[in-house]
This record gives sequence, structure tokens and C-alpha cells, in this order.
Amino acid sequence: MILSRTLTPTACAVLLAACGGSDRIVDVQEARAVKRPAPRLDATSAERFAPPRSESAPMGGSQSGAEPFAYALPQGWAKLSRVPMRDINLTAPGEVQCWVSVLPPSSTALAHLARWHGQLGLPAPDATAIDALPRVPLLGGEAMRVDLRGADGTKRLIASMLLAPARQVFVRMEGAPDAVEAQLAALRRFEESLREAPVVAGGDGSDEPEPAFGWTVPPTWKAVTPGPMMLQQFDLGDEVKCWLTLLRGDGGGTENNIARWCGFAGKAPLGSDEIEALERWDVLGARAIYVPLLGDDGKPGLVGIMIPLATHTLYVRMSGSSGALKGRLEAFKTFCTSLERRT
Amino acid sequence: MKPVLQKILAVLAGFPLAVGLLFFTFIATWLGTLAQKDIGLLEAQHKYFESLVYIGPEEALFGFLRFPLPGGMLLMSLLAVNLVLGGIVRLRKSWSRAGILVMHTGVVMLLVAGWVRLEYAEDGSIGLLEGERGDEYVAFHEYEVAVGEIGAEGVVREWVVADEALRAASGTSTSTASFAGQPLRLTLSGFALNARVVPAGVMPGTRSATVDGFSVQTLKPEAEAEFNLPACYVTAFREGDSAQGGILWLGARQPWTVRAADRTYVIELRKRRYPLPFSIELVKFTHEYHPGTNMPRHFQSDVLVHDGTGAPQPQRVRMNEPLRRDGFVAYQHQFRDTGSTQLYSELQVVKNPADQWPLWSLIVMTAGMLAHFVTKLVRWIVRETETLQAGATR
Repeated sequence: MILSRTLTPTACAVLLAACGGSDRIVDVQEARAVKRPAPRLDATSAERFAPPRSESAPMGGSQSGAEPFAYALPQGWAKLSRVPMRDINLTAPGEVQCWVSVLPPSSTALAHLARWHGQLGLPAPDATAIDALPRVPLLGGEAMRVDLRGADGTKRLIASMLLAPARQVFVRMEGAPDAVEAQLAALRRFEESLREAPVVAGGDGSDEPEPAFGWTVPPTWKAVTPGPMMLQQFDLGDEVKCWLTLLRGDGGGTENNIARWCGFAGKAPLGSDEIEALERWDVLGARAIYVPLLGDDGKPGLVGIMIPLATHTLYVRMSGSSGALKGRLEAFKTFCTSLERRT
Repeated sequence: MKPVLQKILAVLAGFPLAVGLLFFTFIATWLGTLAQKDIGLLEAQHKYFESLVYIGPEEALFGFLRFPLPGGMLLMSLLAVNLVLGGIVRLRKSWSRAGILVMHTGVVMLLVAGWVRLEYAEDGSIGLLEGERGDEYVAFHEYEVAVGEIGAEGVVREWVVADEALRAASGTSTSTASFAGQPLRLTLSGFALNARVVPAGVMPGTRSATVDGFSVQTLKPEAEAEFNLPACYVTAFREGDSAQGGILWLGARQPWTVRAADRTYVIELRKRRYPLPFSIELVKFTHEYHPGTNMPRHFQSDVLVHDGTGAPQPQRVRMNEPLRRDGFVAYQHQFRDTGSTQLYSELQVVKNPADQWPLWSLIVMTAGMLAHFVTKLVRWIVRETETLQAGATR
């Protein structure tokens, strides 16, 4: 371990310099006098890089690295950029907003309820209001369910509050009353799907050997430098790329990954019935799910397969304009079906 | 003057160039605004408004058509040249055109103010809870590697490797920093603007180096640039001791500890911090929502400014009423409802040498327009009076 800590970066630095890169020399002369309490010294790498609450995204899920929970996105809902106080930020049909916030244990349920009452122009709740709130299951615990309508009747707020000693989790939905009513079932499904993202600790978390694969490259495909997370990447011409990635376990979930792919291809997420109806290919002894996401010729498209293996999931994806992809579907299938295990 | 030079001067000072520049400014503004939804505000700003040339639009026309177009920096520079040459130098000087001359001078001042803001302003934010006091502000999109020396009372001295050196340590390049009189030298490499640090093997197939069982996994930069979490590899060369390798990451929970020649250092990658020559204490933060919504109607911070010379001075900071002091301007930027009774107020702090220049340039332009229109009015009155008199005489 010590050898690894010492030699690897040194070797990297030397090799990088030897590869033709430049080395900028900086002489820092000025020291700033400061007075700050000492931070924790000698923290291990596992302690330093343990994902903070807001960074513990599911492996293979969103690459924004920001969402604290894994979940299934209801059909018709879409993810929005994170904003302060919204660790998961979603939108549902009818301009309904839904978000999840995780806070340190900073306040009481009554204080939260009073704040929401204030926001909706309602009179402050009394202390007994909390006891009257119904309970719903959330993240393995029991959350208080709040259902409020604004004083002027234009807004409805639904919130689930899970107040634990270590943190407070809020699922909020807001919008016009009718639109919120239409999303209640989806909200329930969303809440039920919420689960803790796997916490990454030191080590790779598995003793399973990493599988290796072989394949037959179609004649016109050209291997290029793989990007991060890729096993291999090919340039197919016309700005079409094909690449393989391998993730542990289910890679964050079939539905989540397909929803993300749909987002890339500019399409609405597929529902479970649509996913069920997708074509299956026999690849590497598994029933691989074939996901063609193609549009008009000029529009971006994505074609991929998900191959569930014993300990990992292998993904092969091809992206580019839909028109260019359509002409390469046969070659893609030939490539995928040529995959074989090497270990 | 040689004919060729005269022709170039005529083009640069000409009205057609001004019209063309304004047309392309409209195009850049239009495409840059649309691009914000695809590439984020900061990237769109860099690409469309601070560049010499850009390739646009983001969404190719008919799926394939994209053009190289003049960027904001080129357009504004040429416009400044055009105004100086055509609107000031070559303008026929007379009292009747004095107002136009003054107006053009005001526009040039405005363009120069924009350039000074772009090149020399430092901006960031300071976030405070009620009762807290801060004397430094944190950049939005710049980073630094801070090396703090541990003394008897905690971190007592700090050296900083600046953003430029950190970013230079990307690809196959490295940056090596030494610190005056310290038994420590750092070599930075493999800088990634947005990354996560993962246990080696969790992402099979990554080509990153592994240090102490962890690797840097490069991610696509976030559309909202302030959410990026940069990382880099670092090697500490210690006087009389072996080298020590590590990873620095903005998202790290603890700094990296290095010991060299009986001294202890904590090293961290963080957002760049700018010191203030005074400190700001948040006394009270108040806000109000529009009824029935989460939209703030107004919010303001009552602060005390401590400059060490006397009693702290109270100041209210709210929309359009910033705190101005010693060349720094602090605007009420945003607040965060932490869900508790304590609210977190964030002030945007800008050190801009040209802070008041736009105001002055507007005053100059207004004066120019007034002079021009008054001159025109007087001439019209004189002419009309003469016409009437001539008619009466006949």
C-alpha cells in the first residue's frame, strides 16, 4: 500500500513528462497568515473520499454524481438540474414539481409544517396538527404525510417528512391542485422506489474477478482511445461511436439506465410495459435487452444492449444521428453477437 | 498616407462595418442565449461572448449546418476601433457635432469598461448564517491548491497554487510548485474539471492511475459550472524523505496530510478564496415570499462591516442596494432556506476596477445626447424664426 501510494503517482508524473507534456514551474513566495482550527489530520483515503451525502449516487446511474438515492423515474417525469436544497429535482406532467431534500436534523416537524402553511397563506398550525398527520412508508421508515391546499386554491403541496436522528428527508410535490391529483399514484410509486444509494468504501467491494471479453470488429470500424468508464470504443464514421462499458451488479437498474439513454436520445422515458416489449438478443449466454432509440434522420439517436451477467452488466452502445445509426444496425448486431467471454 | 492604409482605415471607420458588427452582435446574442439551455450559462458566456470566433449554433441547422461566426470579444473590439476611428478621429469637428463626439466617447468608455470587467474583475460569494462573520469570499468557477502549515493553534500559514497552474496540469502536462523555504515540493498532474474519486476497480476499464486504492474518474463537466468537482493527482517531494502520492478532490471530506522535515502540512483542492480588507458580519436576514408561492418577494441582509479602525458600521444589503467599500461591491445574491429558523444569506462579492465606469459612460452619453438635441433644437428655432421674419418682411 505504501509502495503504491509512493511510487504510482511519481511514476505517473515522470511518464507524463516523458510523453511530451510540459511541466509548469511555480514558485510560491507569498504565504498568507491564517488562523484556523486544524482539520482532522492523517485521514485515510477511504475517509477522505467516502461519498458525502449529496454525492453518493448509485454506481452506473446519473453521472452528475449528486443524487443521494436510487429510484425509478415514473413515466412522463423528467429529471432537472440539481439546485440548492433539491438533492433530486424532478418535473412531472402539468408543470408539477417534485423534489427530494436531505437536511441535517435542524428543525421540528411542526416548524416545517408551519413554514409550509406560511408559504401557502394558511394560518399557522397548532401543536396537535403533527399527531393528526397520516404516516406513509419511506426509505424503510415511517414518514409523515402533509397534504395542503393554498388559501387561494391555486396550489397544492404534498410532502413526506422522514425525520431521523441523523438526517431529515423530505419528498415534496407542488403544483396546481388538479395536476398534483393526477400525479398522486406516480408519486407513491416514486416514493416506494426510493432506496439508499450504495455507499462506496475503500477497496473495490468485491472479490469477484473482473470478466474480460473478446469480439470481432466489423471491417469499417476503427478502434479509438476509450473514454472514462469505457472498455473499448470504436469510430464508425459519420460521427457515430460505439463503446462498451462494464458495471458491477445491475449497473444502477435497467429502468434507470434506459430512462437516461432516452434522455440522451431526446425521447420520453420508456414505461415498464414498453421495456417489457423490447426485443431480446442472446448474447454471452444471457438474454440481452436491445434498446433502439431512433428518431428522424437528423435527430440524435442511441442504440444499445444491456447484457446482464452473473456479477456485472455489460453495455454496448452506439450513438450518432438517427440516420447514420439506421445504416449500421446490422453491423451493430453482428458485433454484439460476436462477443465472447475470455476468462 | 499610403492608399492601402487609407482604404483599410476607411473600412475600419466605415458605417457599413458598424452595421455589420451590430448584426453579428445580434446573432451572437441570439445563439448564445439559446445555447444556455444546452451548455449552461458559463460555457455559453465563454463560447459566444468572450471568444474571437465560435462555431454555432449548438443545434445544427438541418442536422448538419454549423458556421464559424465572430464572437463577442472580436465584435466588441472591432466596434471600439470603428467608433474611435469613425466616430471620434475622423468625425468632422464642429460645434454642431460636439454632442455626437461626446456620445461616441461614452460608448467607447462603456466598451472599455466591459473589457476591464472581463479581464480584471474578481468575483465570488460569501455565505453567512446570522451571527457569522467572514473576511474572504469564494470564487464561483476558479480553484486552487492550498497548502496549510499546522502550528500550535491549527493552520497558521497558507501557500496557494493558483487556478492557472492547476488547470495547466491536465493531459500529459504537469505543474510543479515549490514554497519559499519549505521542505516540500508538489507536482500536480491529471487535472480533471469534473470528477469523482472512486475505489479502484469499481469502474472496470478506467485507465486512471490508482493511488492508495482510489482513482480519479473523469466526468463530463456539469452544465451548471458551479457543480463541477475538480480533481488531480499530486506527488509531494519531501526534503530528505521519499515522495508521497495522493489525490486532491474538491469533494474530499478531509484534506491530505503530508509531513516533511518535522513539519505537518494539510493540502486541499478548493474553490479559490479572495481575502477582503474588512469583514462582514450578518446580523439579521429577512425575506418574504409572494403569497402562496416559493418565489421570494424580497430579501435583505442587515450586516455590520468591521474594518478594524473603529466601531463596526451597519449596512443593509438588498436588491439594487449593494455594499460598496474599498473597491469591493457586495450584492444580495441569494439565500438558502435550510428548513430551520436560521437562514443562510449569500452575498456576491465583486472586485471590479471598472465598477462605476458604466455609470460614468452613461452620464457622458446622456450629456452628449442632450448637447446634440439641444443644438439641433436651437438651430431649428433660429431657422424657423428667420423664415418667419423673412415672410413678415415680404
